[in-house]
Amino acid sequence: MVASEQIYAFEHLPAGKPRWAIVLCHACAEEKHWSHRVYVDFGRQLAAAGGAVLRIDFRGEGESGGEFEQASVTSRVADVLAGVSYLHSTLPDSPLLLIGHRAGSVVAALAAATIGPQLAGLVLWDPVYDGRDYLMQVLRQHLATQMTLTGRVAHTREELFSQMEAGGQVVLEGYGFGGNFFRELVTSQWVRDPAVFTRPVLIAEIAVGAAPKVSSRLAALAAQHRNLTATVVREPAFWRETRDFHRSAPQLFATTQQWLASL
Amino acid sequence: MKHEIVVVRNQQGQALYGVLDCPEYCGHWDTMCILVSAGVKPRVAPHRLYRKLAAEFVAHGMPVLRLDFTGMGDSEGELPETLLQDVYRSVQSGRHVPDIRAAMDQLSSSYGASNFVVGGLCGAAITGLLAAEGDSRVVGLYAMAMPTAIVGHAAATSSLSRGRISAERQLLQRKLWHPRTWLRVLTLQSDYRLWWSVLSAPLATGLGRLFRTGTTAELDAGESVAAPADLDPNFVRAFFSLSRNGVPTLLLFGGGDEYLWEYQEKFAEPMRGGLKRTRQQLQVSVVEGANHIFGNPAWTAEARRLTRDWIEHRLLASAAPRPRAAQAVRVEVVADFERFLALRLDWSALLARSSSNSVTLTWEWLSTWWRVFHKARSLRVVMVWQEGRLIGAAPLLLRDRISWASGLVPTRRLELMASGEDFGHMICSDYIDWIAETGRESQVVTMVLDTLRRGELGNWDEILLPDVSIQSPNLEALRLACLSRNLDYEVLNSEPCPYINLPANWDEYLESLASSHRYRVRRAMRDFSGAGGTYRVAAERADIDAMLPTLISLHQARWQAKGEPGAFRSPLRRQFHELFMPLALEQGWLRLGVLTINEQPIGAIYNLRYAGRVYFYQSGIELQDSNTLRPGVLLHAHEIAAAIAAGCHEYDFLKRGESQYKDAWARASRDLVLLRIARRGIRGRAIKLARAARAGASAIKRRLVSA
Repeated sequence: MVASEQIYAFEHLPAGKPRWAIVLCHACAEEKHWSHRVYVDFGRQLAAAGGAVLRIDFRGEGESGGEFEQASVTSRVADVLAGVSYLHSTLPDSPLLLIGHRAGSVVAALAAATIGPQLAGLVLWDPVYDGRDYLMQVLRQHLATQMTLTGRVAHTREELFSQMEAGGQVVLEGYGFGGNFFRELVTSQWVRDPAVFTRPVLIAEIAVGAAPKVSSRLAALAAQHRNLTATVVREPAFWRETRDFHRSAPQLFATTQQWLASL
Repeated sequence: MKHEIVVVRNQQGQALYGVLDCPEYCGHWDTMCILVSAGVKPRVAPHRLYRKLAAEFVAHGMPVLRLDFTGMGDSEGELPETLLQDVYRSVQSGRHVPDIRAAMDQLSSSYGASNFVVGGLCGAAITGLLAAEGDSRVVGLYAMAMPTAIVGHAAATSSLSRGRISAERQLLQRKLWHPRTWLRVLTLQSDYRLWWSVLSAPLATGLGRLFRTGTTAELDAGESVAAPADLDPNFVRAFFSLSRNGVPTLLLFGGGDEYLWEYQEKFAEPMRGGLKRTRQQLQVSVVEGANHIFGNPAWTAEARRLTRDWIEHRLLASAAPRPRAAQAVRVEVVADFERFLALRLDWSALLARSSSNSVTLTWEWLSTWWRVFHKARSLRVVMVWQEGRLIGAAPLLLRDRISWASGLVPTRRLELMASGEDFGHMICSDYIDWIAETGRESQVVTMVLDTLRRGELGNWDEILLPDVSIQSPNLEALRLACLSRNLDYEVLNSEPCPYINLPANWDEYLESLASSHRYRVRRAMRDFSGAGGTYRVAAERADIDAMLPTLISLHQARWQAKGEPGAFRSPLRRQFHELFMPLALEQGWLRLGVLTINEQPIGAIYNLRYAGRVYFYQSGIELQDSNTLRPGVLLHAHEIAAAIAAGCHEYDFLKRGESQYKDAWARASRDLVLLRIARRGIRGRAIKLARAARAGASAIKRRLVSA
């Protein structure tokens, strides 16, 4: 990545002095696109509730410069820090928070550990705890594409994963996964980093069942960290293509806003 | 490529957000492209496909606005639908056509664009088509994965395309071996209608159309054909409407995309009679094996190549982008010098609005040149007017005598005014060019070239454009226009012009020099001042009468001592400068300066200061090898310091030639190129062949001599 590449960001501002200044870290690749309208709605709702939201596009994604294949977790963390620095300079009196969604939660958590006490809070929506699990989920899409185009699965997920481990690239819906992004995502240990949990943290898992429960992994994390609020909200997986047009995630927003108000 | 955020207001006054991808060099364009939301994805499209494809349009001088529809991406507004299929159906019915029209209005008023290419992927393609129908501003439809069947139509499952049936059957055969498939069958989760359609297809084919429903589609006025029930009538109507208007259309499909099969089987086959009439403007291209979103780097690269091919061979070659312009814009060929003289004010105003604003293109320079060098030449200045305003000009002339390419092939040549003088009489007019209002280069170039091709300037084989700045936006416009007009475009050679980007003050400039040269300059200035020297610049006509002979005598003496003829030996050259200098003085451009010590001239310089730039044209210095006062250094030092004090931004040494000393003063450099545009065909090939033969012969001769 070239450091001088432009980072595109969309700012939602409230009418008065913002109660919070939030950088929203989006999900990765096409998950970002399917979630886009939900992010927009969240930005507008939070601005109406008195918060400022900066929706940044990581380099290599959306409108920002650079190529997806050259971007890494590190470059994404740098982009978040640039966003934080911008918000801090324009809204110096508002408490700074980060919100991360899916793979964006890994970025947000790593950025939070870097920022230190300046950061007032961290919100993670359906976070990626384990990079390998996440990539195996994403690779499912590759199998679907293989089936559609060739009528058969020529490469299993394990084979594709091994290909990335060996330094190769796997194209998923037009994005080349591999390289530094793959390595850093798979080796990320943010769940074990106490620096992430030195401020109030909300982790909201998303599930579709009638009475969803927090995962055992989240429950274990919550037992370790007093600052952590663990919850599960009932929402569809708005980051994937489904039958529905997702423009909002009301349960998720309500939970997040309540938590913000409690800070 | 640069990116600008653009906000378009829709009919409800809501903000629609877009990003304009555009070339770096200018801010006004005649033709722009609008790509809109693909499905419900933001304006970059899946895997940022639009950013990659936009680069092809930008490379051909067409900025691209990527716009989010109302209620999509970053844009304001909300869509009422909760199901994706309902959103797609609303898009297909043309809900967002007003968004495209609002964008065209906005781009017209903000950037002066009058022609638009519209489209995008899937929903964007059909919206572009519907927006283009009946809107004369649309000069091209760029459509990827165009939907032709109505989304979610009741007949959709029963009238599957053969391609879809084949793909589904293949899939089904593989699925039958998986226990999970049977679990889905037994738990009533399978799509039984789909299964039935796939399995009954051979039967349905055998029994003709017994199992299918159908409708009729209007091809043209009074002509209709049988068509599948789910074929979108809006698509059919708009498609043929667009083709009747001759609008170039690219339909680009992925080879593995169901939308291709639907297009072929539901539209192209039943409508083949009507489609024959669209051959001129329609290009259907398929990226082998690609899916709906071209989601693989190889497919994207192929889509880019096909896009480039369409832009160059269909869009730019089409007459469609020009009729609107032709109504308001007219071309005048000025063959009469008196008429040219009468255009002084229009010419000067145009030059100031152009990117070619150099002193050698001023009315004063060109008219003087013509007075002196008109013999055996016919004036052919092409002027482009729009409602009384001069927006472009090509200062051309036609040689009266046929020249012989390499002594072998007769060649009728068009040249730029202020060029092509005989050897020994050359004025050296650097930075000549065609002139166009900034941002309208492609329009002007196109109109001039079309005028030339129609033979309105007489017969010609080639056009020579020497000493054109490599930075001229006309070059790219010319290259593209030639490409689409079957004309040869060649850059024959280039020469560097060293120049100084002038800083805010003299000390800063001195600091930028190499220490040895800085020392030389300071020392020369100190010695000159200590010797009581003076530097004086012509301020009135009488000064020219006194100083020009000084310049000429110093220059000639020095060069003739070296065995060279000197620049002022030619009477035509002297005549030119005697005529031009008073005009330049009148305009405040002339910098004719003389250095004297004890009232004895030791050096003279002839510079022109025009539009913030100083052009070093000529100099003469005293012929004394023992002269320690360094008049050559002093002349430039005085002139550079004066230029900085006057707020000029550049000091240009013009073509470097053998004068290596220029590099000590100037760090920057730009090339001037010799451009040749030629007709193709037998004569064109013969001329080229003759030149190549001559070049080959020269090379052999050189080798023999050196051997």
